[in-house]
Amino acid sequence: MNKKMMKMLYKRKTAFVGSIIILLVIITALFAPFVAPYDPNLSDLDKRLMPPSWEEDGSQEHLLGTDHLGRDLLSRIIYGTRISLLVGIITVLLSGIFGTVLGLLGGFYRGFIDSFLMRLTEVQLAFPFILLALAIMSVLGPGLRNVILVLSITGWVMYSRLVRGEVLLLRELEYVKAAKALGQKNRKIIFGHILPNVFPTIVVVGTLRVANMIIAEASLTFLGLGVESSIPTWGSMLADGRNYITSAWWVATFPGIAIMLTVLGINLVGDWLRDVLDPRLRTS
Amino acid sequence: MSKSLLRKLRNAIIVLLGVSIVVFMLMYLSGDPVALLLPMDTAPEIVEAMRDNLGFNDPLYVQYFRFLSGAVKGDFGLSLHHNQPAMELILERMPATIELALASIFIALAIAIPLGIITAVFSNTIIDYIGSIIALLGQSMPVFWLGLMLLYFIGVKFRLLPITGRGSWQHIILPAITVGAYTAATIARMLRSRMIEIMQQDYIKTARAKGVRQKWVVLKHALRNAVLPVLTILAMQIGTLLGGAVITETIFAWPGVGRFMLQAIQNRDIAVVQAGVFVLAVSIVLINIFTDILYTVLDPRIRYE
Repeated sequence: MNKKMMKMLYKRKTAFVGSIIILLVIITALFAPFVAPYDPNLSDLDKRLMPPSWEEDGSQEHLLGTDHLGRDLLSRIIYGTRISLLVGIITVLLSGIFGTVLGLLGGFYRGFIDSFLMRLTEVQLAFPFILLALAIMSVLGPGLRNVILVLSITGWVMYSRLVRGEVLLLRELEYVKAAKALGQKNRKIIFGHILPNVFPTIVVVGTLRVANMIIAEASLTFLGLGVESSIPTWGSMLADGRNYITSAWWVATFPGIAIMLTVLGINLVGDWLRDVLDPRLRTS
Repeated sequence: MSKSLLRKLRNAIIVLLGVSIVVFMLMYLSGDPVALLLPMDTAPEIVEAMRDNLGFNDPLYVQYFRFLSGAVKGDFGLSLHHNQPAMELILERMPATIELALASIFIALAIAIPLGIITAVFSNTIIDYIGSIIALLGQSMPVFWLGLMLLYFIGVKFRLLPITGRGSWQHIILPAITVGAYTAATIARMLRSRMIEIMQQDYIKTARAKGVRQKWVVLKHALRNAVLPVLTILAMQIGTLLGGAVITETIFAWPGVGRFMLQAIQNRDIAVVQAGVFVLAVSIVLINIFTDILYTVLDPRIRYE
């Protein structure tokens, strides 16, 4: 990020707040063992379903209370950031690369490849995203690797459609025609001339998609078809909390707030990036 | 118009064929379909005989066409757990899901349109900031968390509304808010930016110069032109709405297709999963065609393109 962008970021308060949230989440994820007061899997059945410290029966030892196995909620939320960020970033990278390459090829070569890709995206868009992910997860079985795989498989469509649309416009521009006339190879034109111009759009969509992927992972885990229950994640905490919602509201409330704040931070920065990087808005 | 509509219909048929291939493949992705039907300790000869009997030894394309001819007639086979036709089970639960989807669209529009208009009319004021923050939070909340919070605070703590099941009109409020919140936030944000854009157009200035009152400028001139993108977003959100319904129906024990399918997925009741996925996907394709036709009715310019 250059100096000018940093200045713009500071100027737009909402984006600045968003970037601070993201920074805090990243730091928390990286330094979880140092920040978390307890081992996230350490259970103490004597302290099960202890309310947050400010409640009547709460204890200063467990700021946000404990779950049904007496595990410290704050520590589990802190460790949960790791999985959420990991899934969010890796799935966006995988689906982004795959979708972009297909979008570039379809938009540039048109013809059969393009028609085939367009129908393929339409077929995939005909399925409710979470339902398709659930159906595939039920086949593959729960697990972190499978969650990343499924979300990447179901997430590429957005990029390919968007990139294809941009490429259709770009391939008619003078500089692409000039490159063709100079005898440059298609591969060089696609990756050397077109891709750099599509890249800002990919960055914007990718940023916003990290938020969607975090929610998708939490949804799958919440429904019991996501990350294994031994790993502390926000989705599994919410699933646990659901069973105790009438007696221990805090178990489901705080992981949800963690998801909401993280997603909010990403959305705020994503919105700002869209305004800054989208060339059409930049020139206006 | 007819030419473009025919092209869209042709594409829709191709997409539906693609959908049928994916749904057909679901059966094979879940392992040996025959193994799901028989006890684990069944002798291999019996498994083989069953496989032969059910046609699983036929070439894949023969099996696909057999599946397709069944799918066209709504025949996806029997549910393993209910021993009833899978399609029948899905269709029995469809009214509850349609009811939830319609109620959530209604709630989404009832929240989004006033919020979008107010934030646009009062843009860059405290009202706009508060409204925009509400919309942003709505977009950032996981559906299932909102559902749990409504269930606890509205249903359990303050006992304002029933929390599970289907029956009276009160039963649908919490699930409908849960499913519709994200769509409401998305529409409100889009409507705000579109209205702000429109309010700077010359025809709005002309209406004002002619002495048209602010209320009519906003409602009759600006809103009318900002409504078409709302339709686009609604059509795009159908998948999200139905996906959200899967989770919401589970939380609120709403007896719809979503909850039933989740149970089928967990029980590996593949015929029900296939029938349910097929019905929902076909619904989405049909809704998209319907939206395309509606566009041409609402915006005559599209008809002449």
